[in-house]
This record gives sequence, C-alpha cells and structure tokens, in this order.
Amino acid sequence: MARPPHAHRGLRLARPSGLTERLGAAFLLGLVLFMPPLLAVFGQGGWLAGIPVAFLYLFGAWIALTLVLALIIERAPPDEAPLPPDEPAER
Amino acid sequence: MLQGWIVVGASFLYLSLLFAIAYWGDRRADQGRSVIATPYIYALSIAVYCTSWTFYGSVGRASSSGPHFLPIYLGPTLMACLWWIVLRKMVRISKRNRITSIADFISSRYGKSTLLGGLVTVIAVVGIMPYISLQLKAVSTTFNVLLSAAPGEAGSLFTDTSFYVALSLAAFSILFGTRHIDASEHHEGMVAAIAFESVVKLIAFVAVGVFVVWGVHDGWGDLFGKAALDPAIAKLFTIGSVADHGNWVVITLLSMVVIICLPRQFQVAVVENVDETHIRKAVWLFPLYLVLINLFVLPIAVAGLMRFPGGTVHPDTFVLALPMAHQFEALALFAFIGGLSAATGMIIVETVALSTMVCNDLVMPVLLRLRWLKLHERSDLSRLLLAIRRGTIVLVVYLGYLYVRLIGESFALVTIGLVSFAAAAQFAPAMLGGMFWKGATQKGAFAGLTAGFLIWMYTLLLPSFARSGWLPESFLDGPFGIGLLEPYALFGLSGLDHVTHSLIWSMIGNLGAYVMVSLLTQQSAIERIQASLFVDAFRGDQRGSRFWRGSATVADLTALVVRFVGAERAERAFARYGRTRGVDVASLRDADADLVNFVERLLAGAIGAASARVMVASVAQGEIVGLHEVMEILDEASQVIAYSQQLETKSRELEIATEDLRDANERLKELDRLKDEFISTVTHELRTPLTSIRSFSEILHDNPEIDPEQRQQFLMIIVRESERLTRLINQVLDLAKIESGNAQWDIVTVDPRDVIRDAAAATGQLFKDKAMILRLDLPDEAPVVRTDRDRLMQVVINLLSNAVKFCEAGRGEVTVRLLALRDGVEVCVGDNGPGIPLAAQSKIFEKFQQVGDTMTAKPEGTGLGLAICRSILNRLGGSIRVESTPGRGATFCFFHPLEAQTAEAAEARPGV
Repeated sequence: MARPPHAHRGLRLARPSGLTERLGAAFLLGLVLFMPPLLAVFGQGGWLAGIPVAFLYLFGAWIALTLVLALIIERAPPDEAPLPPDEPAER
Repeated sequence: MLQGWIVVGASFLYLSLLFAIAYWGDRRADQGRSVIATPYIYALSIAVYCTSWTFYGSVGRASSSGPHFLPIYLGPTLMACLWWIVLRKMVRISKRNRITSIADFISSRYGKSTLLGGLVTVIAVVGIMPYISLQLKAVSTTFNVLLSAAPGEAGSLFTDTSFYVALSLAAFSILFGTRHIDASEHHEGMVAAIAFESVVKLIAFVAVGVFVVWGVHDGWGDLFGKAALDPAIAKLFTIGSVADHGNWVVITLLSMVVIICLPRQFQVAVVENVDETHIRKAVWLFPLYLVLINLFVLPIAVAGLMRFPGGTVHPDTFVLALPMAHQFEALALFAFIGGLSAATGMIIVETVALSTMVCNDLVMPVLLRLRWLKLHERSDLSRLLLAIRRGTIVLVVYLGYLYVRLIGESFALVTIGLVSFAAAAQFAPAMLGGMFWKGATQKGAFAGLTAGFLIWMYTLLLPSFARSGWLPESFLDGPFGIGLLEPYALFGLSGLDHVTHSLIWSMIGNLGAYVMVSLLTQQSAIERIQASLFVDAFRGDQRGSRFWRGSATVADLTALVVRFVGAERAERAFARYGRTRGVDVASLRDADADLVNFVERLLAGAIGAASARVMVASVAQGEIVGLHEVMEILDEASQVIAYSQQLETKSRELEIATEDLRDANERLKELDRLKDEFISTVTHELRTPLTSIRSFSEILHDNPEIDPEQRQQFLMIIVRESERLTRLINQVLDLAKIESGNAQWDIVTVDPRDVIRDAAAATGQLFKDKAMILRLDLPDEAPVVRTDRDRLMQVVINLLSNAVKFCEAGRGEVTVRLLALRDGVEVCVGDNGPGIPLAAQSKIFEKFQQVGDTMTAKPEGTGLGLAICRSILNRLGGSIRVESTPGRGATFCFFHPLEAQTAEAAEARPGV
C-alpha cells in the first residue's frame, strides 16, 4: 500500500525554534568564523584572483553573517511581548 | 592647497547644519511627530561607535598590523547577534526604572547605591577623557594636514582649531543635550543629528575608498597586485603569529562588551531608544554599517603605504593625504568633514552621557547631603540640575582639550582609544552579571569595579602618563625598580600588546573580586528587590511597590516632584498616572505605595535612582519591608507562578469534567422526567380498565335482581377489561425488561419468512373476526438471519394486530412484504386504513402515544405495541420507520441485520 506523501512530514512539524535561539546560533557561527583556528587557516597569506585570501575571507564571512542576521530578523514573526501599555513612553 | 578659510568655512557650515537638524528634530518631537521613531535612525545613531578613531585610526592600525584593525568591529558584530537578548533586556529594565545612564543602571541594580553610582561615574570620566581628547586631537591634526602645516604645531590658544571645535561642541551639547530635565531623558534632536553624522562619515569614507581603489588604481586586483610586490606590505595580508591571535581574540571580546558598556553607546542604544522593536532591525543594520565603513580601510592603508614610503606621512592621515596628493582637494575637504562628523558625534553623545552621570550620581548625592546648602528648602531645583549638567559638559570638553594639549602627542590614535575601551570594559561584569545573576551583591560589584579600575590605572593609564613625562620614566620599570611590578609586564607576563596585557590582569581582578565577594557577602533587602526586578525584567509582576510599606501625603510628593522637574512637567506626569490608574491624584490626601513608587521612578529619571530614593524617603514615613519579608514575597511570587500554572491545568481539567457532569445530569433529568411521565401514563392507563371493572362489579353487586342476560353481558365486560389489564401489565413489564437490558436474548438462526408465516397464523383469527384480508408477499429465496425468534415474531404480530385495529372491518387489506437487502432484511406491513397524520408520525413509536383523540374515541390497544417493537429492534441492531399518507393507509417497515448485534454493542447504541 502506498504511504500517503505527507505521512513522514510530521517529524518536521516540531515547533520552529524562536528568534532568541536562532540569533544565539548566529552568534556561535560568528565566533567560529572570526576566531582561531578558522582564522589561522585563512590568515596565513595567499592570493585568490589577485586579492589577498585573508581580506576576502574576513569580509566574505562578515557579509555572510550580516545576511544571516538579516534573514533571521526579517523572517521572524513580530515580537510577541512588547512593553506593556502600563509603561507609557515618557515624553 | 586648500585655503584655511575654506576649511574653516566648510566646518562652520557643517556644524550649522548639525544645529539645524537637531533643532528641527526637537521641534518635531515637541509637536509629537518624532523623526527618530524608525529603526533606521536608531541603527544609524548606534553607529556613533565609529568615531574619528575609526575614520583615521583604523587606517593607521591597518598600516602597521594589517587586519588587526578589524576585531574592534567584529566584536560589536558578534554582540549585535545577542542584542535581542541583552540589549532588549537593558532597554526594558531602563524604561521600567527610568534609568538614564550606565552609572544609574549599575547603582540601581545593586540596591540604588550612591557609592557605586559615584564609582562608575569616576571610572567613566577618567576612562573616557582620553577618548574625548582623542577626537579633539584628530580634528586639529587633520585640520593641519589639510593646510599642510606641520602636525602638532598647535600655536596659541586662539589659533588652535580644536579649541573652537570644543567650544562649538560644548554649545551643541548644552543646547540639545540638556534642554530640560525630563524623566525619560530623550534628546530627539541630538539623535537625529547623530544619525545624520553617521551617514556623512560613511559616505565620506566610502568616497575616499572608491577614489583610491578605482581612481588612483585600477580596481582591487591592480591595487593588491602592486602591493604584493612589496614584501613589507604583503605581510599586512596575514593575521600573524600565535601571540597575534591572542591579541585578536582579546580585542574582539573587548569590543564586544564595550559596544554596550561605553557611556555613549548606552546613551544612544538604551536611553534614547524610543521603541524596543527597533532593536530587531539594528541587529543586522548596524553590522552592515560596520562592514561598509571598514571595507576600504585596508585598501587605503595599502595605497597610502605605497604612495608615501618611508613614513613621510603619518598613516593616521592617509584618508586626507591620498586625495590631496592627487590634487583632489574637494574630496579631501569632504573627507575632513566626514572625520569631523565622526569626532563631533562622539563628543556630543559622550559629554551628554557623562554630564547626566556626573550630575545624578556624583554631584547631586553630595549636594543633597550637605545640609548647610539648604537644598531641601529650595522650591525649584530643576534649574540647578540643568546648571550642573551644563557645567559638567563644559568641564568635560575642556578637560579633554587640556589633556590633548598636555599629553596628546605621544600616542597614535588607536592606542588612546583602546585605553578608554579597556576602562569601559570594567563595567561589563557588574552590568551583565547584574542582569543575569540574582546573587551578585553590592559589595561584590564594588570590589570588582575597584579592582578592575585600579589595575587598569596601573597597567595602562599611569604608564601612559610616564611616557608623556607626567611621571618619571623609571615608573615603567616598576616602582622602586621591582621587576615583577613592571606596569607593562606585570608578574613577568610579557610579549603581549599593552592593552591585552592590561585587560587580562584587570579582568582577572575585576571578575574574580566580583564573583568571590558576591558569593561571600549577603544582599540587603533593597538589593534583593532590585536584583529580582533586573533579572526577571521579562517576567511577571514588576511593581516595586509590593515591597514598600508606609505612607506619604500626596501634597508632599507633588511638591517634591515639582522641585526637581518643574510644575508643568510634574502636573503632566501626575495626570498621566491618574489616567492609567483611573484615579484623580489631586483629590487624594494619602498616597499609596504605588504612587510613592511612581514618584520615586519619576525622580530617578531626573536625578538618578540613588538620590531619588533618598528624596522620597525624606517625605515618606515607613520604608521597604525587611529582608526576610522580601525573600518571602519573592519566593511567594515564584511559587505563585508555579501554583497558578498548576491551577490553570487543574481548572481546565475541571472544566472538562464539569461539562461531562452537566451533560450526564441533563440526561438523568430527562430520564427522570420520562420516568415520571411513564408512571403517570401507566397509572392512567391502568385506571381506565379498573374503573370499568369496578363500576360494573358495583352494578352487579347493588342490583341482584338484574336480568341474567344483562348480567352475562356485564360479566363479559369485566372479563375483557381484566384481560386488557393483564395484557397492559404484561406489556409494561416486557418493555421495562427490554429497556433495562435484563431480558434474555436467545439468538438462533431463522428464516425470516417462517417468522412472518407463523405471525400471520397467530393473528389469523383477528383478521377473520373483522373479515379482513392478509396478504403475504414473500420472495422465493431469503437470507437467513440470526436473531431472537420470539422477539422478532412479537414485532411482526404487534404490527399485524395494529393494522387490524385501525382498519375498517370488512374492507381492510393488509400486506406483508419481505425484502432481502445487502446487509439484512426489510419487512413492511402495509394497510389501507385511515393513515397517520404527519405530525403524529414522529411520536408514534413513543410509549402511550396513540393516534386519534384519546379523550373522545376509545382507543384500542395499550399504546405500548409500537414502543415495544422499537425497543426490540434497537436491541437487535435494527430500526423501524413509518410511511403514511393520511387517508391512504400506513406502512410500517423495519430493518433487521443479518446478524443481530450482541448485547454489549446494543448497550452502547445511543438513544436506546
């Protein structure tokens, strides 16, 4: 008997992790990208298409991380718990 | 060659534009049409992080150590990832507690301690002063570069550019940073101007970068290709040795914490934040800004080194020197304006932040304690507050100016900046720890800050004085020549960058003292309260008033607020409070704890948490509850949360149970009603034959002379009525047995045709009596069914005798038809009687429901026959229905499954 196509999809229906967890993961990604030992690997010198590898790597990783952050933020639903109205913004 | 007046004029024009923007921003804010209520302005204002140090100093650092200028911007990028967690909490806490500076934040967290607030202020002023002077130095140096004068030739006071810059910036800060005393300390005009400056410096730097890469050279490849030919420059494209990695990591971590610990960053990111959700966009907009402003640093440094070999031009000034060397003076001027904007933005925000701190956490606490000043009797202190802040701004700017005149020439830009960074980083343990660790105590924070600050002074600040000649050179070799105490190689730790070295020791001292002392000391009641307000900022009950007992009069409180923020603002604040609470504050005499708490927070915004507490205590009797009770309340609170969650679950369960019970009860009530109805009907039905038996018996008894024929007739009636009574009772018992489920069911295999034939035979006499015709229409073949034979036959007999009863004698015709279906058999009994009205068809199967008017016409039968049929069929898993057109007969059809259902299954059938 053919299994219905959506039968195994239930496994992927776990609650998507929240903004906080995703940003925390992005932070860890940043740590890995910008710290030794990965840094040491790309910081040894060398050239790629006429551009220093270190320069290419650092800015590439930086831009990539910024993109990841933008994706996380812009795809997240609006904040669930804004400041309660009890505390009016003082003017 | 640029003329001096052009540069001065352009600078003047630029500063005027800045004033105009700030003025416009404040005007719009007053009209309630804020220009800064967008995340883009917020993110740009945070970019005040990029000072002239970024603008000029990064190139300088890149020229000597390649990519090592980057950690200062990678750290903030990493921290930006965590902003949603850390910065949002800071903003939430600060708004709740009306915190307006970093000193206030730390002091407020550790029990509104005046001492701690003062200490933080001192560290900030001492630590940041070099940074401010750095900006002034940058402006005057670059001005001289632009005019090609020898750098450092400051000349007299009145020809010194930095003097005039300092003058106008002090004016700006006073005008837009201390316009009035406000509980929120929002300076919208200032923020608008800062955001504008961020745009200017970014465009200016990128313009120079584009010019260098595509104007001077032929794109990236050309520039880097030429650089590769010089081994000294090619070395700049590597990270370096293991020690360099250590520096890299330390500087990254350092800049990670200072992005939230620098007073100016706290000012723009926390105090000036108008909407928490702006932080979201800033999380990626700010790193994007950093990427863009740093993209061209290395190319400019490389190009500068190639254009000016041999150190003829200081690398810090490459940004200006390169365009000038290629006769692009307009671009050089624009770059100068960019650098100017970077410097002014920093100075403005920093002085405003420092002035708030100095006023609220250093000067006011002292003034309020000096009884002989009689400040308690002054009716309006808001002018005094403003005067203190303005004085502080002037003082800070000019201390910075003095610093640069006296000491400034001995350091490169980056070094001074990092010294200030290291000082600001000392706030990190107390601040971040205080937000996430409830157990941190005031004494711990004080010990940590003191230790960190002293070590920072010893390993960074004092040596820099020694190098500038303020202290004897010999200090650098350790006091009294003790080698182990060498400031730049404490306990023999050498080979590191000075800043890294200082950070390692100061953080060990700071963190160590903070944690150790916190673990070894106790919190006071108010510390415990503040700790829970800070750490649990996103949770539950945030009313500080829970912890306060006592009383104060509204008049006293109002007078207090008026003294510090002015009558008009006080009135507005109380009106707003009244609106949200639904009370008229003016009409009250005694203030409750809630109002006292509100006033304290209101004052905290104006004079700092510590002073506000002192002031409120001076007019309010009573105090916060004791430590023991605080613990109880807090524990209670957390227990209450746990309990309430349990309760919620319980109450949901109860709701479901109640719903079930209600349904069951409804069913019971309905059954009860049916039972009553049934009993009353049964008794009524029983009474009818009994009455007639009794009356005929009485006639016979009272009239012995009645003629025998009539007597016979009466006795006949009595007998018939007795029979009817017996039948009725039998049927009631039968029905009760079936419905209660006690009846015995004897399931056997039968041919339904046999059942019908037997039933027809049994009722044959009835048909003969009324001269009616019975027709059996049975198929040749029929499936056998498994059923209780007697019950099934009873159903057919009931239907047949029913048909007989309602048909006219002599003309009646009854047909029984059997239909074999897929899953059972259907038996239909049709007659040509009067039929059943539509309205009665639905009720006909209920007990004692008879067609026709029971009052007038004497019904035949008991009214239970059809009810018994339905009960039996339901039990067997079948069903019964009626089809009838009034006047044209009626047809009763029942369905019986091939296999009668078991009793258990029948039990579960609803409606039985």
